[in-house]
Amino acid sequence: MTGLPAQTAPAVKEALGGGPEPEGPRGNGWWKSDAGESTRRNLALIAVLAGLILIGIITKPDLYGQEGWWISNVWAILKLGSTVGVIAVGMTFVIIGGGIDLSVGAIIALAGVWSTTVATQEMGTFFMILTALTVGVGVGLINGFLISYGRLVPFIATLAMLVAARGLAAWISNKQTQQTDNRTINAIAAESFLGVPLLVWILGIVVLLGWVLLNRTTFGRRTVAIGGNVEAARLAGINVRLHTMMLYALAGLCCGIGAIMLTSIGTSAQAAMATNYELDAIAAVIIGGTLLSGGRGTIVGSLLGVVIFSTITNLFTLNALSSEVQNMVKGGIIVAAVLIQQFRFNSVSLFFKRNRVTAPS
Amino acid sequence: MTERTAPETGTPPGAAANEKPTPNGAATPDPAGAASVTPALQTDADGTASAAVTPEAGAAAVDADGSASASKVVATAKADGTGSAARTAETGAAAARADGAGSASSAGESEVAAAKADGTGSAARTAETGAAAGKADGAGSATAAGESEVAAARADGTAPAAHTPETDADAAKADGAPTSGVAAATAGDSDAVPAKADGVGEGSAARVPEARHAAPDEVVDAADGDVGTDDDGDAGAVDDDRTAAAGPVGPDADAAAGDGAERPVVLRLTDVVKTFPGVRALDGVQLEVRAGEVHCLLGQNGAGKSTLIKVLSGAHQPDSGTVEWLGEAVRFANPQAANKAGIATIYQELDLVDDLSIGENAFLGHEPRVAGFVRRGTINKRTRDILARLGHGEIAPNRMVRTLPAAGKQVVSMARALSHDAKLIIMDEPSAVLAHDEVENLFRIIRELTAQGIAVIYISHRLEEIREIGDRVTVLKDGRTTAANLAARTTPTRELVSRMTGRTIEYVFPDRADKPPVADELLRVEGLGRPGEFTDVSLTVGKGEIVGIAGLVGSGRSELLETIFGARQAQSGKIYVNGKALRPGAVGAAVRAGMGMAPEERKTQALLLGEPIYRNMTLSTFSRIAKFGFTDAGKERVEAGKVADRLELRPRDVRRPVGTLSGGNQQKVVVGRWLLGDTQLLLLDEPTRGVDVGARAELYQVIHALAAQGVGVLLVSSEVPEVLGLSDRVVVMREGRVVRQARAGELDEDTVLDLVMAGSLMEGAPA
Repeated sequence: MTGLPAQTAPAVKEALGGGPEPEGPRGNGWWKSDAGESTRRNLALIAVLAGLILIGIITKPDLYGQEGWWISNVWAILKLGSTVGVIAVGMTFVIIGGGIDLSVGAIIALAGVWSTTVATQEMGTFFMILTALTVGVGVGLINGFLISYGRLVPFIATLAMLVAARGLAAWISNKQTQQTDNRTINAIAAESFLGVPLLVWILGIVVLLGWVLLNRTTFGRRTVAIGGNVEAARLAGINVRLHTMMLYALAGLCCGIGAIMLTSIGTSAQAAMATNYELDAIAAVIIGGTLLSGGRGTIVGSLLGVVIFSTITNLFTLNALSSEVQNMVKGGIIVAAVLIQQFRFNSVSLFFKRNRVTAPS
Repeated sequence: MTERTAPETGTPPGAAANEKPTPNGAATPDPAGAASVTPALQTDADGTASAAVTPEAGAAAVDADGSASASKVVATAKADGTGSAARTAETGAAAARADGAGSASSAGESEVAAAKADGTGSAARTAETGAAAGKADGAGSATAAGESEVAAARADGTAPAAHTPETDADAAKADGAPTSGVAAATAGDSDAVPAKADGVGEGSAARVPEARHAAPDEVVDAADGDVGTDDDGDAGAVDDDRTAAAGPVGPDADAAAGDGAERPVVLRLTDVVKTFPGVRALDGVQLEVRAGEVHCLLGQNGAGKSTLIKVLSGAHQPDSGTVEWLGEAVRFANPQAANKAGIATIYQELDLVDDLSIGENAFLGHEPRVAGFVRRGTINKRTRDILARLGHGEIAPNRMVRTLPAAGKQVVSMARALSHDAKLIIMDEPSAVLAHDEVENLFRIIRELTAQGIAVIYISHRLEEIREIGDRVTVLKDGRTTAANLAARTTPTRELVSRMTGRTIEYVFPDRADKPPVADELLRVEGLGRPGEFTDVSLTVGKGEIVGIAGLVGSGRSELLETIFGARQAQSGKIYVNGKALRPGAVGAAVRAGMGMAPEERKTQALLLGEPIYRNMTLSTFSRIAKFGFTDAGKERVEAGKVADRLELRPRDVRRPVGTLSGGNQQKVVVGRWLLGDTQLLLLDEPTRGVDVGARAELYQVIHALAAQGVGVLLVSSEVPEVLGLSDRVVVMREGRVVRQARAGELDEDTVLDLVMAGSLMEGAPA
């Protein structure tokens, strides 16, 4: 009844789990305790999402439950999360690979500003898109180079880039808001294809490609290996440095795509755009079950994280609650989602058992 | 396949011959000696039952058929442990541990050499038929000082053992006159023959490390020769009892038995069961630890040792069964509770805070304080006292733990245990991180602890260490106690191993069937050097050749291996594979050139513990299995499955996370990774570290099978018998230099140990 999938058919297991999970030794069902760790995490996220939708149905029955309205609300929610969703895909790769990228918001601003300068706009749609993607990848490569060959800690390298890229964006735009009059760019946020908004198409395609890249390609396998045990990966002959650089370039590419989307949404670009997007993306990735220390994570989880956030925003906007309250609730949701994921039945029983035990005199 | 045991390659008969008693002393029947046996003794002599030495009673000393050679002898030799005397007798093992406690003038440390003669008392024969050397210590007596040597000779049918403190060496001579400080455990079918340990000079040979190394294997020899022949139990079963600091007491058997019982049981586990989801980790464990003893826990990886430790230390709670601590049934809610009760655990990965001082670490969590302020002075003073107790008063308590070598950190862990006033210290493979000489220091500390009445549970895979430091052994297999309270020194290796595995061998090196006489050169290293690690190393490895590098931790051997593999960049020198120079410092180039490496630290350097087995196996080959950049998990599973079959991986299901495997099977996964590619040269760094006996033998076979296929193998191992037994050629390294290269057949264990250790004995010890 909701547009959001809450199916529990085994067929979706792999999609949810982000990869083939080993069957239990006793051939248990996948929902049992030996179902994939990430599958369970994602199911927990779906439960959170279902709870939010339930709140939506109660508070705004017309928009959440009513025929004809709910579907447009779903698109609204997904459009709201589309830009963060795209950069969250890149962020997922970086974090699984054992790094972090704080500069994604700044890269979006730089790519957005660079691609909407008068000179660039004059050269046409294709060149604007190309500029945004090139700037994104280029800045990502610089990040990656500093981290893997300059041996900077990812946190520091990308923090520096956050500051520097916004500075460059402000310098290029001369602190002005740059309007786009390119109709094709502006149409991305406005138009739909087959009844689905183009922004949602982009998000869907990026998520799909990201999923394939992570779970079905050698690139993804290398990412997991490096994040899981960098020394083991190196001694297995994987070129860790090159791959790490590629990870940040990929994150940059996603930022380039995000820059186009955000420029289209606002029909303009400015140096202050996409502020705090890095935090939104990281938060979505973390509640999506990706280990901050690397080595494990799923694209689907990150997508669910993004959708949960934009559903909250949607709910609050519809109920006319202030953004301050909204941020407080978001903070609570991050904690709650992670707690729910850590929930284990036997850990509860252990807890009680532990309290029963008495120490010797 | 013929089996070859290590001592044949490692220990020459000479090592034993050196420490044997002189011919005339060894087994010459001596009427006077016989006459000196007291009537009481003679009464005992015919009863084999009394030889069983009443293990529970803590039994007095005996030689196996029960004739305590006692009456006027001052120090009574004791056997303790469950039926150890009887078992010893059956298998005819002659290893013994003597007790120096008997006399005030006796030793802080004493050595025992027990030789078995074929009845004629011929010394040469003694050596050849197998001698066993044990090490004893007489820590029981506080006033004990000096060193004494014991030579126990066993002529067939008779089992005399003499304990001869230095000062009384001559007194122990043939007439067997009971002299102060002499313990002669004498037995025979009818006549008891005290042995003469003629002069300390010969006896002292037993003190060289080689003798210790020889011991376990020699015991096997002895056992082989005598199984089933000596039911009347006439082996020289001499064991020590620390608390029997007897002094010149008329040692009648009962009194001695009472001595044994005086050591109270501090810990008793009965039928302890611990189940985890899907695994019954402990399935009825029995364990009994007495005060002041070193109780060894033996078992293969996965036998439940770790779980047992965690139960004892309060990290886990047993599902059923009882844990009795100091006579009370207890249930530790958490490690703090166990600490408080006096049980301290020293884990293999030392849980110290690197950036705190020694004192702060020792008192971490229970700092003495005043009104919330930590009393630094008190901490340092008390830490200094504790360190002095551990024999390391020279270490400053305010030194940062980070600056200490591994051995020093272990001392800090022990200091922490003592700061809790621990009565039982559990050590999980403490020697695994230590170099050879540091292990000696560890043993010295353990002896000091036990002398203070502290019980130690000691876990190690190295049987020779158990022989040296242990008093009793409990063997675990599949979560069950398969043997409890065996005598650590006298129980034959074969029996220990079979209790652990159901197999009867420790080192078994399969024969090399088709070894190429002159191998084509595969790897050539010329003048390789890295400052501070190794200098000017040149070596070659041929196709199908196994080259072993012997050396201590810190000799540069692991660094050399990593440099050859490109994981470190050489500063000087060249590496050629198949005649082509290899790009330095590039693992990828090395892998493409056909190299593979199984690094020293499996978990941190080789495995993705959360990932399934097959993904770990294909870590270096998934790109090749993949098509157009898309991985093929199905094919990977099939390929990994083939390797798993070949390596007899257990469990066989390659989709299980590798972290759930035992150490030996994890190592198989690491080696198996390189079987998947077309690896021509395999670099193995400590391939059997932390690997149980059964898996070890399988790994040896795999290595040989690879060599038979033409793969060159360059391996590093701390265990000299392993290097000698596995390799065709041996490269000995010391302090970053190659000191010897030779064919394995030209070297023996003693020579290699000498080469490896010369001049570097005290390096790395805590300052």
